[in-house]
Amino acid sequence: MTALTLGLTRLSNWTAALAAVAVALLVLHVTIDVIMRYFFNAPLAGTILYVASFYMVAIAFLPQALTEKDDAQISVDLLYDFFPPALRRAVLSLGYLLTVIAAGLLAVRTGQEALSKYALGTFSIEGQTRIATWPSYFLPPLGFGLMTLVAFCRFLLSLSPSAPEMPRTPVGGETGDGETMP
Amino acid sequence: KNLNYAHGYPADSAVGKAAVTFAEQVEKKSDAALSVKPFAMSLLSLSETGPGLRDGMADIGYVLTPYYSAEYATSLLLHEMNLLVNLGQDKGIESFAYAGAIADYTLNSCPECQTEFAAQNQVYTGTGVTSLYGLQCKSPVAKIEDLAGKRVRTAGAGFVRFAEHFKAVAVPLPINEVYEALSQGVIDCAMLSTPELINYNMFDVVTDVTLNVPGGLFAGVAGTNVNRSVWQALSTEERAALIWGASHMAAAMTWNFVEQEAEAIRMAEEKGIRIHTPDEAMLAPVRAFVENDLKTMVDVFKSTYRVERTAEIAAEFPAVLERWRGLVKGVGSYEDLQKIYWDELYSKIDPATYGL
Amino acid sequence: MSELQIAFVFLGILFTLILIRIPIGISLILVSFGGLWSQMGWNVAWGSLGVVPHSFVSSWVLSAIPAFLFMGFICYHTRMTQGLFQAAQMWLSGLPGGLAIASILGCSGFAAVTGSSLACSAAMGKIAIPEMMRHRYSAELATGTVAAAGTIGALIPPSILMILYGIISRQPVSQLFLGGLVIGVVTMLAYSLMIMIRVKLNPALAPKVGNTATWAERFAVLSGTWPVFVIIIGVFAGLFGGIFTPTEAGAFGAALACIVALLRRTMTWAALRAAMIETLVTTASLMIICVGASLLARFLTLSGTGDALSDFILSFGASPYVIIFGIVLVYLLLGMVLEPIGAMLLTLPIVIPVVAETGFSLIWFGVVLTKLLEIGMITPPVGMNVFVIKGVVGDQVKLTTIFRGILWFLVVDLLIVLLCVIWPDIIMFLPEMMAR
Ligand code: NA
Ligand code: NA
Repeated sequence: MTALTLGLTRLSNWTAALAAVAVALLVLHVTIDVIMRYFFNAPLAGTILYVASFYMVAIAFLPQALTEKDDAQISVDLLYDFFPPALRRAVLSLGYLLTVIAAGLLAVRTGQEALSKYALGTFSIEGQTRIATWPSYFLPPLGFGLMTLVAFCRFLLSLSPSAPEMPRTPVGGETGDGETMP
Repeated sequence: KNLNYAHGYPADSAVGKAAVTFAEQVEKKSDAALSVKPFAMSLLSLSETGPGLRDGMADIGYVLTPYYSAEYATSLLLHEMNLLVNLGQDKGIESFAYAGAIADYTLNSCPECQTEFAAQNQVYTGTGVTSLYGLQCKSPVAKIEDLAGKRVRTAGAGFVRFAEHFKAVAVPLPINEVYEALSQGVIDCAMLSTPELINYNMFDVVTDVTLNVPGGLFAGVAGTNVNRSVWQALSTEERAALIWGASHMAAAMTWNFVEQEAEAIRMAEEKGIRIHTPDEAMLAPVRAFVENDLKTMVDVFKSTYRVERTAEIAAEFPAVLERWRGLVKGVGSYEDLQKIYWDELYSKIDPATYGL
Repeated sequence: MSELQIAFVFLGILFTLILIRIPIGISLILVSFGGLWSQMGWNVAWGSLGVVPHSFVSSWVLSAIPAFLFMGFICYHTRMTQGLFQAAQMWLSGLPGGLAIASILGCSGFAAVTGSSLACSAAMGKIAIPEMMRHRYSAELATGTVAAAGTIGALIPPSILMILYGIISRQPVSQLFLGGLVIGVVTMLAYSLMIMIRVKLNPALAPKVGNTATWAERFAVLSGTWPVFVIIIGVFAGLFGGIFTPTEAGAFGAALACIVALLRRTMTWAALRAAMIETLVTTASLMIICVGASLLARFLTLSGTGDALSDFILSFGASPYVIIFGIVLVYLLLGMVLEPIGAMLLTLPIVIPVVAETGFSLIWFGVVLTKLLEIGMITPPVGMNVFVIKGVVGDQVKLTTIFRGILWFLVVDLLIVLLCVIWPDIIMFLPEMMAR
């Protein structure tokens, strides 16, 4: 189990690192496009396509596993604070289980979509160039798939009698730093 | 039966109003056996309509083919030839002719197009097109030389080549950002069909409108595609009613666009916007560009979209368009237009066998 | 059961799941999926899971969100914002709740740069909240202020919501913008006034910051504010100088922030890494909620909730004022669960003709609607601005605390809406003046 969680943690961090590259590329690509257009009247072809179809998809889906691992998905603790410990543990487990179901459904369905886009070899045309867009369809299943596995681990861990009644809660800037599961 | 029709445009637009006509005609023709409910934007966005229709989120959908180049490559070729409309001598009927021609060719001469739609679990039942593209600018473009050095919003490869040919800078932008880009001066001009003046309230940010340059129109549409499983579950009479409705949709959306163009010009003049109608000196170089560009387009299309029959289709389609120019000549009312579409094309689709 | 009753059952399940601490995005996705499955069949539900996530997220306009988030996190982690708040602290120290008021002014300035309230609260949250907390402001006041002030981002032009409304309703965007400018400034002043009154009554909310600074010190401290001003001025100049669009402004601002940090030699790997991770986690946790909210809008559309809404509004009777209050009520309820764009697409085709018949101006309505939808951004249980702030503060402050902090701002907002309905000229005078 420890090996599994450690492996998943590393995978989550690596996919998040890919998303970080996408943020950097987004900032650079758009800035260079703006400068080229304004000062040289020579905008880059395909900026909008790259930003929308590649960077945004990577930024939105690849960090899902990291976000799940760090318990940074947004939830409401209005009533939770007043729950007795047993009930707290129950709803935490339920939350992980529902996350496994939702992320699992999304992973399978977006995976099907990715395979069909791959089979078709979907592309977009920018100017005179053919840009393959099918790879971007593999980002959602990758993100959701890993999120499913992380949530499943957390679900199993939450069933153990020694599981804490509060989720592991990261502090501000430290998310993603620890190589630990709950 | 209730059928949901997703079209992704405001209810009040040319397409939105035509969708209501479509729904009424289908209901009437089927003796209320079918009722169609149009959904404006809320059900599926324009980019979602293709896959959403495939998966049954809607029963009928207004599919924009350029969003999915690989899925609808051959249909896109028929759209990419839209600059052909600039070459005809009869003015004012370009959209009516192109709408007839593209539906005619897709239904009768393009088995690849049919296969593409079938692969997306859809049945094609014809379409309409927009009015001609013009230039909406912050400074006058009265001569073709005025384009030089201007930053121009373009959509589509043909318009990018057009801009570059006349020494303008092509800036690709989604249509919902054009208003702000014009207002802030990020771009000087936008290539848009004239009714977008109304749809996007461009009146506030443009001072000059040049009509029919670059010309061309938007034909990358399958306006009334039906989910294939839904289609096959209908009776022959119900399918006939949908085909009848489709002839109305084709006529209504095209007619609405052309009518709205006239309204947009009137409103623009009222607001003190200068309208430039191009003279022969401006149109001649545009035609020269188009004749040349069609060859470029065919080469590029073949190499990028990889449609086998590109050369053959590019050779056949102009003749079909010419035939439709003759058919719609002098058309003076919506009823006339719908009758021509029905008599010459839509009535010949056999509801007992088509799309099964 | 009627379709509408079924829709209410599913909304009930949604509220329950959210209240027992099931992640909001997961709750939205599962309930919408279940709703679509039960109402429309498996194929529709299964199909929507494949279509919606990729198509919703792959949006050029949405890219401003991670970009502005990254800009804000960089500013914070390279300590550029400290100087600004030292200055605000000295200059506004005389006012009760001076830092909170400074945050509202900051948000309003930022609003002129961004079209979305999410980007506004994201950028200002990271700058303002830590400073307020350091000065022992109550967590409720500190977080509530920025979450609420973020809504000004969509009121003061540019505004993505108003552009969309203009397109759907065929109203001139420029006049909507003028109306938005008025309501944005009114909101800014009313929020500030409310904070002053509350702090006056209960000074513990916002302990007074030392008030001994001389004028020389006050001017001296301004020199520490240049980094942030360089960025804000750079973004403004680019926007109004026609160099880039509001969407591009985010990326440009982020690049500028990185350059300024490098020049000041405060850019470290640790700062970059922290800013990046926070950008990713915040964006990812927002996007999964957006995807869920987008799915929910499809379910509500297909279950006929739209038609039921128009029946509901019309059931209020014939008086224009009663109908308008009915519409206000509907949007306050919708705003609890839907994000603004979904709520707009779902309802406008039905609501616009109704409003047109009441005789109220559609420009006036567009401005009030934007305000109402922005109120939805801070109301529980789905309050996107509040979630952004939660993302920014991490575990230091509970979500419920932020929602409690919102309460007084909500009261002010409702008073503003009431004022607009009773006295429509407050919004209309500027657009009407310019139209002449
Ligand atoms: Na704004
Ligand atoms: Na809300």
